[in-house]
Amino acid sequence: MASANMARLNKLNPIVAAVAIPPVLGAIAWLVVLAMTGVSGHHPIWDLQSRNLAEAAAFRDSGAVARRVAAGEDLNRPGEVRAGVIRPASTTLVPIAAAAAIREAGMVQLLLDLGASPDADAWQRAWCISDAADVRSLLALHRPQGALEECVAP
Amino acid sequence: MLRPSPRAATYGLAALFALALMSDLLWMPIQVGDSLGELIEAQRSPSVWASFESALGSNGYLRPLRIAQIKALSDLAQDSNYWLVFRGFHALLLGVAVFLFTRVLRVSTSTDFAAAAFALVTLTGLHTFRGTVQEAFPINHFLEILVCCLLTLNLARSRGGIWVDATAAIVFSAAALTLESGLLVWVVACAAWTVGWRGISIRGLALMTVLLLGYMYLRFVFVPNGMPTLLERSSGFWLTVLDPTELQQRFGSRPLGFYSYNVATSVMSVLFSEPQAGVFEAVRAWLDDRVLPRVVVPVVTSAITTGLILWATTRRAVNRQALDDTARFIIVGMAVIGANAALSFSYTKNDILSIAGAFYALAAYGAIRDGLLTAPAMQRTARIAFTVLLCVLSVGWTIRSAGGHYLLRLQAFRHQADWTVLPGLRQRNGQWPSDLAEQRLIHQLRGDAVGLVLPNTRVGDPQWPVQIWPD
Repeated sequence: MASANMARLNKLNPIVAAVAIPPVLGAIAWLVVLAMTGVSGHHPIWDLQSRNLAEAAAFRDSGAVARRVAAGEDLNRPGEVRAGVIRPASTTLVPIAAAAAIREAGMVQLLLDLGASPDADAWQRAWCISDAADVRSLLALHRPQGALEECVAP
Repeated sequence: MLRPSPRAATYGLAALFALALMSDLLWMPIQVGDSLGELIEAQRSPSVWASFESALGSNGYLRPLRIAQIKALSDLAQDSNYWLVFRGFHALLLGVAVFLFTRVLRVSTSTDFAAAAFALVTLTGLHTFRGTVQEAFPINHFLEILVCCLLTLNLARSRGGIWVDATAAIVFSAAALTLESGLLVWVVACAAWTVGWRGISIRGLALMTVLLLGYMYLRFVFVPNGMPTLLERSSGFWLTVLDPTELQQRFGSRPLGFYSYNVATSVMSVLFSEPQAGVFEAVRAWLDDRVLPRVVVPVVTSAITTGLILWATTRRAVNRQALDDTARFIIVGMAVIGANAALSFSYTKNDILSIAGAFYALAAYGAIRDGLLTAPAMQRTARIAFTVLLCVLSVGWTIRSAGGHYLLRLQAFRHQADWTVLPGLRQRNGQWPSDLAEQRLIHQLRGDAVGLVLPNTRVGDPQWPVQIWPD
């Protein structure tokens, strides 16, 4: 037993190597992913990071929305949402319109809870950009004066 | 060049897995569901003892130590360090579980090392392992029971003595008063003694049996808490999930059939990764014509591994081989799987089977080790085919194991989303607490959760993780 304990992993026969190598590589890869993310702040698989509040809303990233609001970002300020998220080209929207565009009533509600108060123009844009019934019913409850529940066909 | 011993290499590999899992656990907020209510209750309770006492009278269950532990950790957090204390405790438990699992293997050769590497990916890749990391209430009690069971097996493999017996009795008591699954500690000790691992002596077993009888008296006579009824929760049945009313309608007058189904499917779930939580997911996916790798890989890897366990068992029985550690791991593993399944009679879910899953990985260790030792005697073609089979199997389990990272990232993002909306949701539903201390607690927990910067798994993600790993 003592000599067996003292044995070293000098040579692995092929079948032993065939069984042992995949788990070893798997564990190393897992830790490398975590280390890379920890060092660079970018996850190798999920690396979409918002640049403003509107984009955070468009990315359904409620944590980023809450952090940006806590850091003092204006809930009613338009921001650029990169191409391919809402439209093929980049677009500039207020956060609530970005949330409406992705048909995410939960995100619209979160923005309202955090204090978003869109003016008539912004509200109407949010209303018209989304055809989701739950988003529209939520917006209807917070319609500012002068905003109309109707959209002009483009 | 540094050449570690097989034992050191195994501990090194186990440390890598533990570190990866612990990092992923720490990178996750405390969850809202099943946790916030417990934390509020803990805050209201005047002491750990008061929490323990109040839990003695709860309906259907006897889990006073579960509630007392939440109170103790909650006090330790001192109104500010909840994330650190609860997630830290979860990560610590996980590290201890991986260490105890590795220690009990007693690796001494390169063959043992390979089998241990395989066992580690089986442990962390089996769907039942998810129950030990995916959720916490706010402590993951299934993981605690797993630690207790693995500690007991380590004690059984020790040289024994009065302190070993006393420790086994204490571990059993603590586990039994935490969750019903804690009774499996007694099963582990008995099975280990039966196969010849007698670090826990007959005297120690007798003491544990007296404690088991004491538990039964407490559970059914002194403070009769009754049994969970069919109306408590939904449960999987064949291809669907039945809600409590449907369960009552179908099985209310003859629950034995439903209980038998739960026990049988629990055993199958561990051995074949199908069904899961009572639902035949792979069959349903096949019927719906959406058979993805995430459905196929678990079933195939589990079926082949179970086949290897069966092969090793049959070969040994036919050759009348003497009982060695390979056989012992398989026998103890099967005993715990059977007992865990029996305990799942009233409802089956992956979390409850996490102990059975870990002991399945121990049985797999025995079977793979046996296969590796047998392979050199095979003819060349058979040996090559067997090598390819084991390599593919090892890759399959490694892929399953790596799904842990995916799962924990998804969960972390979900938990954070739950916290961000919580205050608004509770205020709209009239559930916002009037008590200032409770409000502070919610704000504290929400602040901890929102403060974590997490990878966004909801948008822009590639499709391949969804195809490979279940969420």
